Amino acid sequence: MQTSKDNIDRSAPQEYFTDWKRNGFWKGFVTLLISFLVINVLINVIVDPYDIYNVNLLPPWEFNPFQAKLTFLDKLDTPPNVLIIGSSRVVSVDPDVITDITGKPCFNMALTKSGPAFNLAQLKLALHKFGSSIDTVVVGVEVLTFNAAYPISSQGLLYPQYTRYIVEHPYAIAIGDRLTLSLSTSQLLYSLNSIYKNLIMRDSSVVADCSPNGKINYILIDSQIADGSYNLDEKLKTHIQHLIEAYHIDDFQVLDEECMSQWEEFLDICVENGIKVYAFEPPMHDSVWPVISDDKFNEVYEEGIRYLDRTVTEAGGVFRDFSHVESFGGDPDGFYDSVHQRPSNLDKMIRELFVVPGPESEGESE
Amino acid sequence: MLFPSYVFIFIFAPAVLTTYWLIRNDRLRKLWLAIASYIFYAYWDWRFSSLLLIITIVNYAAALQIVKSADRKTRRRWLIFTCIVNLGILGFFKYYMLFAATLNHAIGWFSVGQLLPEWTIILPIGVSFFTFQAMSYSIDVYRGDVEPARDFIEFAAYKALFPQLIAGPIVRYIEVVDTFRSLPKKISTENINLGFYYFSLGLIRKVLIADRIARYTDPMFLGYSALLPLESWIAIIGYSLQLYYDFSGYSLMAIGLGHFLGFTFPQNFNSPYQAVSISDFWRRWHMTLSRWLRDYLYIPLGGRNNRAIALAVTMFLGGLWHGAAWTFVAWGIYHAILLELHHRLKNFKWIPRNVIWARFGTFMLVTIGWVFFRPPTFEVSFVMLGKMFDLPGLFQQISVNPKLVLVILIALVWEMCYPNAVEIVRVRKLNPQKYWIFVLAVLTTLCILQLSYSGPFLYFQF
Repeated sequence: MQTSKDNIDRSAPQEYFTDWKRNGFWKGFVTLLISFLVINVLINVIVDPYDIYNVNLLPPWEFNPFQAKLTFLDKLDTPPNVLIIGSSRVVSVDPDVITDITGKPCFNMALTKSGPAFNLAQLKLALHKFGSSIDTVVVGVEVLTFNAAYPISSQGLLYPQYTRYIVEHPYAIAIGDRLTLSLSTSQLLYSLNSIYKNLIMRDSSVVADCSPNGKINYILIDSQIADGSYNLDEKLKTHIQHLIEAYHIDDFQVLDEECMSQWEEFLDICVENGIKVYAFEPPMHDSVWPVISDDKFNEVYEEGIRYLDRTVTEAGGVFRDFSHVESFGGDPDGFYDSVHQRPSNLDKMIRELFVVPGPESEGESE
Repeated sequence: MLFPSYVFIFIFAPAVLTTYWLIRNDRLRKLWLAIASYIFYAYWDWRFSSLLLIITIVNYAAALQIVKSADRKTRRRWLIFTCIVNLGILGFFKYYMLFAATLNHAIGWFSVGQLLPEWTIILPIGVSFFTFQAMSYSIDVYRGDVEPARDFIEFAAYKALFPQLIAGPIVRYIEVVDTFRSLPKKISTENINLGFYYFSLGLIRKVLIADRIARYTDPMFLGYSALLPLESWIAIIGYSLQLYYDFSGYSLMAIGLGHFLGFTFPQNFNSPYQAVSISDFWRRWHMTLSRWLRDYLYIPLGGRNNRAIALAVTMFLGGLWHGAAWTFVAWGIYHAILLELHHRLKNFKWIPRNVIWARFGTFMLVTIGWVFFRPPTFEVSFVMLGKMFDLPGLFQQISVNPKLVLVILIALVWEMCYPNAVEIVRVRKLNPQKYWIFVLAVLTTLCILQLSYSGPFLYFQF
């Protein structure tokens, strides 16, 4: 009978293990490995290129709206009556424009990669901080984020101040993510870039910053636009593909029920607290639509718009579909890229939002 | 839980290994090993731990009955019972959907409608590995090659042993029984050294080579219809290296973890792309599975005396073992044909004698076979094959990321020109050099910094 005993790869004869029997190999390896990792963590924490450890020895390499908004929320002298909520597509909406329209203090809470879950977190955080002073929310709500494949912002997960309202174990996630981020090549590369820029090139320019009212200013791009060096057409070429991947548009086959339930909870909270909702679907550049549109996509998108309109109206709010820039008379090229509008377009859009449409009172301002 | 993950490297492995060596009582250590292994498995989906437990109980109890019984028929019945349970679990979870879909499709020709409901069944991770391992135990006990485990805890610890649980190497009980029966009281320096050596080399192969290749080739396979002929070759050569570095990386990590626990696991890969013939390739590729198929299938089917049929059945089932799709079967049959051709041509001395040509030819034949292994459907496989053999089109200007070409070249040179990790230690008997420490530490640091981007092992799906 054939057995397998003769084929077994037994441990090798022990006599050749001369140097493998000595401690030098593993001790040297572990010492070097731990040293490299510790040096890496120290560089990443001290340089803090994403501005997540609050070290602030060097200006951050990458602007972090999550940290900036928390800082300014804590510093507000007057609690806002109006909140702007939404994603990066509304982070640059100027609260002063809304104050100008409503006469009420306003703060822009919007954060990058914010879908229904994070919109809900923004609202809950604001209510936790300011309670009954909030009477109006202006929310840029995106149908594209009602997609099960659209993830919660990984950057947002670093901030349990927001995520404690929407995920289990927010502090554990935040600590784990901050630790793993300090052990990542991307963080190390940003740290080294930050050291090079700040200490070697002595370049103090910043890409973006945050106003005390929560408005994000894209300083670098605005300066490029001003001096004519910004090329929107070139930007669009690459950004549309990025947009398709970031929104997981290929997986957008149906409105996600969990997202809808988070959105309905958002509206229920507003109704319970007597908060008036002004919601809108922000626009995309005209060149995006032919690329992403097909029968299935259009069907789901239009269903999403109808759903938002119905739910907001039922909550006593106002919903406006600004999917196309001409819907509010904006500049078709008033964009930084395929979805992010420049301030002039955002101002027009917000002023149009507060215009109450009606058969006899077109253009009448509230 | 993945080996290349923060939770495994910084929490699970240090905690489990430290506790294991701190416990003085052998029985408690085995119990701890079993518990830790179940935690490791349950981290993915706790519900399927029960499946592992059922297989463990059935095979443990049946092996005892086999040994107790003096009657050959009763012994045989117990063996058949364990095979039915093991294969039944494997068959239901892995092959039911394929079986139901194929049957319903065939019945559909007669307009009868669905005969079997087409349920969506979650595939328990590593089920192919641990069911085959369980069968090897029962068969070895039945054949009298090994005594059954002395107690349930020892067997449960062996069955669930976490380094090899979900993607092999398929460790037979006979290979670790001596260690289990006299667990070393203290971890030896050579085991610590070899543990770090194998684990870090495995990590480097997985994170720095396999994952990097995947980053570029995965989109190429997604957009296969737009690939040019030369791009198709680059994609499939990239995949052949990705698969090898991915799986051999996992195996090395498992061998390294085995050393940390005081075990010596069998080698699973022996530089398969240095093979000089297809027969040589199968002696070097996934060696523990090849050995399993040879000892428990090919030889009982007649082996050399009945080569053509034994090869066809073994490779058919070997292909099916990899996945519930007919593309895997086609891959198995393709290799069966190559093996049979090799044996026939060998008699006529038609096999190239020049080592370089022999290696090149074998590598190309194996790589062509992956065209059935990688794509999800025959349609994609045939489109890819059509492009690869569109010879005039090979001269078209291509657009491939140079980084992919660079990683492929590095992977090829490493594989073709250097001895593999196990060979260095066990065959060439080389001692560690000082510069190895520095190079390994730098590359392991890079791997740890890349852990967030590391994908699951390809063989997990099998």
